Amino acid sequence: MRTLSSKLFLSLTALFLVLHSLQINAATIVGNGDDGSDLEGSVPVTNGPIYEARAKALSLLQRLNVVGIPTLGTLIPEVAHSGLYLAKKDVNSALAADHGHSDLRGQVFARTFARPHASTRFFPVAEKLDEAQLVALHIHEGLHRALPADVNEDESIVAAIALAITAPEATYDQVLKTVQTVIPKKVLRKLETGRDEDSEEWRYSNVGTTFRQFFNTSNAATFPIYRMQTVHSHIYPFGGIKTPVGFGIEFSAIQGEGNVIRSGPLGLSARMRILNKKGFEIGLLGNASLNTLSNEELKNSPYGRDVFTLGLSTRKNFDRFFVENVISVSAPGESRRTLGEGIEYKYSYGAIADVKIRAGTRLGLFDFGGYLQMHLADYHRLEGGAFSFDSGRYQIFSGGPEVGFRLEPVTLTLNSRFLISSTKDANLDFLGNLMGAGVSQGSVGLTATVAF
Amino acid sequence: MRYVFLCGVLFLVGCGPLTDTAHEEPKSYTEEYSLEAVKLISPSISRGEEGAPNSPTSYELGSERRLLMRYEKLRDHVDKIDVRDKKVVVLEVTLVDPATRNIAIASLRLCPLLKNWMMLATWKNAHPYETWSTPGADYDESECVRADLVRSTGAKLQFDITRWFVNYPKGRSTNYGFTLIASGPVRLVGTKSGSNSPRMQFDKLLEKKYYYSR
Repeated sequence: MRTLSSKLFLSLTALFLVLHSLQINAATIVGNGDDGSDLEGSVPVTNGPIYEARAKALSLLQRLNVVGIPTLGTLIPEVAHSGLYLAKKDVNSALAADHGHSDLRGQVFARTFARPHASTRFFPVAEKLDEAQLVALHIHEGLHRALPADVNEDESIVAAIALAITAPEATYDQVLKTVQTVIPKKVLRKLETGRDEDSEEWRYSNVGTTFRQFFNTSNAATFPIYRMQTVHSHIYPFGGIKTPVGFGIEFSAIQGEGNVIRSGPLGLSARMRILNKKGFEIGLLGNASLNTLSNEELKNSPYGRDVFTLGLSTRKNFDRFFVENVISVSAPGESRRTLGEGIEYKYSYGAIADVKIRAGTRLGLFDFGGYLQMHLADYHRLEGGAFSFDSGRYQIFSGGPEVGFRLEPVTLTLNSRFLISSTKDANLDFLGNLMGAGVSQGSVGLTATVAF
Repeated sequence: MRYVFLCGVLFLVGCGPLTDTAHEEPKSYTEEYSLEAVKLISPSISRGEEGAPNSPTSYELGSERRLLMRYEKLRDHVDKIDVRDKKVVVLEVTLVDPATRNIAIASLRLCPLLKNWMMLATWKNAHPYETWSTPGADYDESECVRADLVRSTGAKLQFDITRWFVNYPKGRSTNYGFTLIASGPVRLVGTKSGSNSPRMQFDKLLEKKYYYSR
């Protein structure tokens, strides 16, 4: 009986001790359910291996001149001036941010907040690390505070850069290459330009050239234009980072019957982004396509008119995808042409409203997308002598694919326009906007742009 | 008695004109206008601008070479054109070579067009936005006329288009003009000529004016 009681007592005691020890190592439930991982209790570190390792880390960073590497400009001051604290007891990695900061048993070496000027808290297990490991730890924690907010909590990025810095015989170029590889380009660009990721239309000023081949040109009865070449320059010198304002100029040359090249319309444009927030961009645009009067035939043609257009664009950017809506209105106009024995024909173009939807995605260096556009016009009239023609209100529905290849700063874009349907047997000639929608049944074009 | 007669004459003269002009038939005079719209069409002419050079010296017609012709300002005269008492409206063309007169008379037919057209017309298109239903122009075969042998003299060939004028411009307010069709080669003077270019002739009513004396 006594033996049994003794054994029972010992068993219960052992069980009690086991349970107790488990409870010690278990998370302490405090208040509303916090796991107690914040109850670290720490004292400032003013000497010892951890303190001395910081000097070594600074020496390494200065030798590598990391201040000259994009995104690492504040790494040295963050390491140098961060408050160092040593916790009284170890903690297990319970926070998501602890990954990469703990040993195989899950005990955390150090913690910091991913924001500038935060302190670094070391845990007792860190004192068992050697000098090289402590140097790496200082640099690792410093990177969490120094890197841009977009990436400073990404452990894979932080670890890759820390590894590059602390690798044997590390060099400036190696660290730079690692930064350029692991940090997303949009983050680097943002650092470079000070702007959020912008769509191409607003990001850079650019110059370029476009070649357009019109197809199914009706040479039987119109002023046939088969192809057009333009050179453009769009510059955004005004406005702020969020609201760039710029101007554009576009020269054109057209080729008609007999392969004769003539000067085409002159394009003047103004653009202004009025909103760039949460991935949305809204812009205003105005365009004037002016008859250059440089050639009698173009002046004396259906297209010898000035076209004035105002528009509003709205665009939503995702990581690899965008959607854009454009609404614009073109003013009415007319042009005249004399044929036969002094018969003057007047081409009248009514006001035109057009809506356009574009969408696209990026895969590697390529952009794939397309658009649909509808032109709704008041009328197209042709009158002269005893002849008159009035289309009345008509609409033209067109669209086409767009494929781009981007190797910055150069972009090549293949675009097209196909007349999908129309009322009143209308074609693009009805619009009388050579530099806009073009003519005939559509076109295929190639644009090369250099951004700066 | 003489004095009574003389007073009666003076009385009548003082009251107004001796003759009652209210019942006088209005007079007319002949006017002639050169056609502004003359367009050569052919299957070999594909562009609208071709076949409409400024003031050609001549037109070469053939089995597949036709002229489209119209007097553009006819509507300004429609209400005043006199077709009473066998007065006629005439379209006149001039041959380059008078010796070909007989061949031309036998070859040429002037046919009223049924669709509006402009100076960019081609064999296939009446204008930039519409095609002919039949290539070579849509015309009324039953109303085609040949040159009037009585009116045509020398190199000038005249076609009586009075019926067309009454049925179309006057009756329906439409003026689509004509197509001149040749079954063989015929050469006509072009619009460059001041006096021999294709033209239209008609009699135009004189405007009445009344004078009152006191």
